Amino acid sequence: MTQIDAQKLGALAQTDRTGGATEGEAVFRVDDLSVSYSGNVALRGVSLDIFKNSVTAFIGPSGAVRARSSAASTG
Amino acid sequence: MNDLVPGAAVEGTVLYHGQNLYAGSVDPVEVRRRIGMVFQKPNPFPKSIYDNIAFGPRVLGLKDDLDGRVERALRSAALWDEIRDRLKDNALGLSGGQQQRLCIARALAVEPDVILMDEPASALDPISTTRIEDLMHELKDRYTIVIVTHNMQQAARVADRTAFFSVEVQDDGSRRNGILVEYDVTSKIFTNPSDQRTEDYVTGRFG
Repeated sequence: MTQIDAQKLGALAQTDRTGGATEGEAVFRVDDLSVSYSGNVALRGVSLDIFKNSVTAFIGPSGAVRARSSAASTG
Repeated sequence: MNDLVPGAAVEGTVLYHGQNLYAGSVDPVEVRRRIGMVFQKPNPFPKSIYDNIAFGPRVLGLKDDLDGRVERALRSAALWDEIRDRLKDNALGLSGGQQQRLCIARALAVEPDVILMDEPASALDPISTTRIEDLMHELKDRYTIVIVTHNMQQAARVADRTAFFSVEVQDDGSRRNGILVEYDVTSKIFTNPSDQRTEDYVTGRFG
């Protein structure tokens, strides 16, 4: 792993997988999810919980990234 | 859905109420009944309004009180009062905003647990967008909602929590892949994010 990658992962490690939730029932628990297509990694190392009776938004610059993560959630 | 893409591979786990969605024993039909989807572009079936809503329940054999089920779904999607006298009309005759609420009603008709919305208002005018956003506020009492959106203001208005994804470019520039940068309560993401990349995005410096 390169130094830059390690720095990025360090930043990721600071992100709370619960999204700041202090209570609530997790409907989804996503752990270290990676999605690849024909060996090309599209999404890497996603861990987060999604809580019942809440609205959770996925934002970001690339539609594909977010669409793929939601598609992965639907199996 | 990734199952349909040749060469797609998933690593890691997605637990849904504690059950691994990628375990071989999971019934995809049951998963899709519990997790409804609404897409960017309204996609009603070329059928009557009634038959659009009744389609899922009929497939699943939920035929008791079908009229009541159709009405409840349309009421939940804030569409009933507008179309109650037009249930036999073709759904393709509805406006774009009405079509999208019809698609939400169609998702609700099979009583899902989760609703995934992929850019549900990006093809709609501002008034229709407001109606969809109001609907999300109402529906979250009964459902868990995940919305993918390009519209940061929309995320700020509707979401309790926001996950910011970005693109990571490998050192040689040959590969780009998505990563989760930051996940927090929505107000923190937009006013006091922990990560510089999040701040750059939400303040419009890139993207």
